[in-house]
Amino acid sequence: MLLSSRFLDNVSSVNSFDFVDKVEFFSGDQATVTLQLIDASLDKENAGFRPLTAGRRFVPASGATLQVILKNLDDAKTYTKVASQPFPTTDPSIWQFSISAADAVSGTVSLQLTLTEGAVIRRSLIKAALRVYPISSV
Amino acid sequence: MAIFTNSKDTLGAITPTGAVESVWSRLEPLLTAGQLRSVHLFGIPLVSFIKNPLTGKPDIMNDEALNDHIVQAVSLAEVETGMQIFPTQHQEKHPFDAFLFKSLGYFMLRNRPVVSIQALSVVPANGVSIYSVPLDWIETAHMARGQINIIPINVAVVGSISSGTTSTAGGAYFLSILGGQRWIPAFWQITYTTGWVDGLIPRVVNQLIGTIAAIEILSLLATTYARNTSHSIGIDSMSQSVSTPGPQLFKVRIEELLLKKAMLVRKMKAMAGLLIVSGEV
Repeated sequence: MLLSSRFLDNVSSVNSFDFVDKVEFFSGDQATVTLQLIDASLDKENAGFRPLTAGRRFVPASGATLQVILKNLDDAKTYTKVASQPFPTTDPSIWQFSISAADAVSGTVSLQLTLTEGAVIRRSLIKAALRVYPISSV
Repeated sequence: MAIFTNSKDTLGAITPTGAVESVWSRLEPLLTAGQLRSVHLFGIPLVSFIKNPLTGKPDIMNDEALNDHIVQAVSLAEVETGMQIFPTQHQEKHPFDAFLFKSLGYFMLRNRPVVSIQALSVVPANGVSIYSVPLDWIETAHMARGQINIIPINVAVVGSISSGTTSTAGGAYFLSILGGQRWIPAFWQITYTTGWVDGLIPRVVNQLIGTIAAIEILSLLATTYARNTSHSIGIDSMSQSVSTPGPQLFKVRIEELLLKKAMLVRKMKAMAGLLIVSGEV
């Protein structure tokens, strides 16, 4: 088991969404990040699978919680979000969290996921997951 | 992660050097697989020429593979330039050198580009800070290129100056008694941060990362053409022959990218004061 995620956009139902490689927005914008948990150790291309990225949808146990840390070297710019499931009964692999306009999120942001299923805790690091453009910079 | 409440930045931006305001944004997040494909690998099908003998289909270089190449290229760019691209906090020890100390506390930090300094302390072998130089005394005008100086000509602390704590200017007398020593190894401990803040990197750095990734990818793709250099078919008096570049397929493009990479590495090193030029006068 290798916990990872795929990012989703234009999510209107469990059957209607687009996969995106990165989540992009401008600094200072309110943003909602939707992701689908996957087991990245499965369905790899070298095993004959041809998905956008390796990995099989991972449905966590009922009552699981997902914590998302927006990583930054500066503690003051590091945010911890608690994700929720927009479709808890029909597709519990899909999770969502919000970034508020007041959050000082900028640049290349990696995400640290912590999925807690009872006593089982799984972690994941998604490198350069968010691309947040500055409104002004030199 | 690190705490930056007690931190002093370099003067202006790293690129362009010293810039404090501009309407032209030169910084952006790390490039994506899509950008790598459209900017550096435009028009090149990322498909192996040789079919996979197990599946009978050509292997495809998907976004996941391109993202891996980008991450690898970041590491290669850091090694080639000797710089850290993404924010990294360092702690390093420097000797007490009487001559450098008398040159207004001259230090040359070992990692670049330096964006901020958090502490300059006297830390003996037990690892406990016994004196911290106030950040107000640390000159950061040339810090992006690694140089800092202690210039104690302004007020560093308001209030009583008595005990030698690690957070105030008290104990500054400690510095003056060092004049009797010429050399004390690993005397100073400096905590500082390198790399572009928040991972917002200059476009030219993204260009270098993309160039390195493209060289690796084109080299891999070209290898899959290794079996085909020429072939011919003939029947009676009719014949047809075809010659292909084989593994040399992307040779010209790779050579162009190698030249571009060398130029960008040189420029980045110069930007951080890492370009060593020697000559005779």
